[in-house]
Amino acid sequence: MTKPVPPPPVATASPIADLSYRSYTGPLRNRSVRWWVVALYTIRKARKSQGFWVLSAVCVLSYIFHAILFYVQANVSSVMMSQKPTDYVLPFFSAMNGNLNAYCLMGICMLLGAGSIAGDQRVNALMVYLSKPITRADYLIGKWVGLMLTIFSVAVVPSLLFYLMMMAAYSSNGFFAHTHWLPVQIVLAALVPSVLLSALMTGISAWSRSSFTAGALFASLYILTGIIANIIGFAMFTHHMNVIVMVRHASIPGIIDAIAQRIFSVTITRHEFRIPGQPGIPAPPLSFSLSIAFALVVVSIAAARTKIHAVEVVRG
Amino acid sequence: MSTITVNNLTVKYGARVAVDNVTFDLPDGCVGLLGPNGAGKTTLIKCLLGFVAPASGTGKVLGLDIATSGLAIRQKVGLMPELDCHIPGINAVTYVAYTGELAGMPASLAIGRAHEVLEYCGLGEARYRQVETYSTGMLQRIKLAQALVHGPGLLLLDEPTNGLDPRGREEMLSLIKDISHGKGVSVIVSSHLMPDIERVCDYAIVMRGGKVATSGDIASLRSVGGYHVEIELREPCAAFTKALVDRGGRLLLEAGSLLQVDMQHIEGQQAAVLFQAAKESGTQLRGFRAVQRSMEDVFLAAIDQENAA
Repeated sequence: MTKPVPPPPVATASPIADLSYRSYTGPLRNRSVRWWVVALYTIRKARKSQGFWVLSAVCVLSYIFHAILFYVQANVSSVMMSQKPTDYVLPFFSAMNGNLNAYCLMGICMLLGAGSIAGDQRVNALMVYLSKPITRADYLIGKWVGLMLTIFSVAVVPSLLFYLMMMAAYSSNGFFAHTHWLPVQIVLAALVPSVLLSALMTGISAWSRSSFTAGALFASLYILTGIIANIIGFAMFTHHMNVIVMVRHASIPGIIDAIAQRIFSVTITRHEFRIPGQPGIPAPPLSFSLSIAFALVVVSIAAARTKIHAVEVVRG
Repeated sequence: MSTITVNNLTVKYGARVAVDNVTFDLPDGCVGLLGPNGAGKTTLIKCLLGFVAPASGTGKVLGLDIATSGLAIRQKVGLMPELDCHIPGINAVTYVAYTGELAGMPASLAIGRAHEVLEYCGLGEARYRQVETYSTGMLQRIKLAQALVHGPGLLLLDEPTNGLDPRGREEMLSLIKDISHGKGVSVIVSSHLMPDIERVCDYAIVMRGGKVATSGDIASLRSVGGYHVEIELREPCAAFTKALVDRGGRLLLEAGSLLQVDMQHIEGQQAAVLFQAAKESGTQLRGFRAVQRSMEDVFLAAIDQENAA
């Protein structure tokens, strides 16, 4: 004889079983970390984006390519690579600042950042967010930091893994002895595009009516400033190499490249920055590149702040 | 205790005065903020939350100064905006939990609380669906849920029944009535729909052109004084009307078996006079009560009064 099926348990212990309204009396987080909620949401959203994972995987290809290149050079060359420290640093610089990586970071920034504020404004979500106990600064910092950390993770994680791999493979050849500061250099070099690109994208997104407009503006700014600075620098008929160098690095990719050169203490530049007949040109002074980068970040964030309002501000 | 106290508050958008020197004191419970479009209701709500700075005057929300305690006010207040404000690509639980986290709730508690309030608001299993797939009624419920998630002491509902079908409207009004009565939450309902306010609110404030046209508890606003009486007879009876008029009553309205009579001149003896008239005319008196105006009448009267002034 089969046993009778028992009735389903009455879910009285579950809070959801009580459908009446109860007030919330639980703990509340400190108000000073509310921006982190916004940042965390941005990071969570990035993790769910397929495009983000595809572009991140493409970034890794650049490191694989340079690892293979290094292996071939180290084994084919009759001279072992333990003599010059720059031989070890160069693959890291090239992988992090190569065209592939640079455009992937730009793509990720565009993909995740274009709609970050423009999207919220389009669907009136700002009114709901700012009706909670957060300030406009909390919201803005959260959006910026969330995007920055996402880009930073894509830039830094493969680099550090590459570093660990190189250390495991070439420590007997003096790799570790010549690259004490390389992890710090990697982190600093990864921070530069993360901070700069995320700030620019946040500013543009706040001023745009749609994600598409924001993305298009950002891409145009990134690509066109590089091309224009290069053309102007190339066309300058002057014997002052310093001026040419400064002009050719006065663009968004140029600034990132110049700071990275200084961080890694290398003088090799991407092909578009080279002067015909010369193997490479030194980067402009760090103060020059940092000043422009700092100004761009400050202007972008300040500009974004002026556009963040719970309600549309009507004047006049 | 007052939930909101406002003294000589003026809000301007450039040269345009949106709220003009208003002073009022709103009690606990459910309060209706009535007025036509452009009356200044939404601007007043924005000002109370600190979104718009007042040009002059002072105000307090739950005892907190609107000029200096914007964040503390927003911690204790929940806003359901008039406009749709949903993030596409996420489900209702994620959306409401996120707003709870923004209010300071730890993530694990916010998600649990999101489920609770969405259930309370009647979303049921639909709460797992993407926000963009919802009907207007569901979207209104999500807006209410996000306003409730952090357990506010005061709810500001801006046009909560906008775009709802009759059934959805009924359900939303029932929810509002339930929250505002006996749950420790005061509710301010901003609406241009008089029957909604009449249905759920205990107190009302009528605004027009940025000014307060009239305010008071609903019962006293609807009352037209103790002399206007509505009488229901079993069947129309001219003899009853004549007997009543002979005794000093003034006929205001006669619609079949329903009469409205001004009995000011027979104060204190209305019931006796009615029974005498019924006996004399040989008709059956089914009932009588003091006449009450609808909120629409209250609103129109307030506007007429203001125009006359």
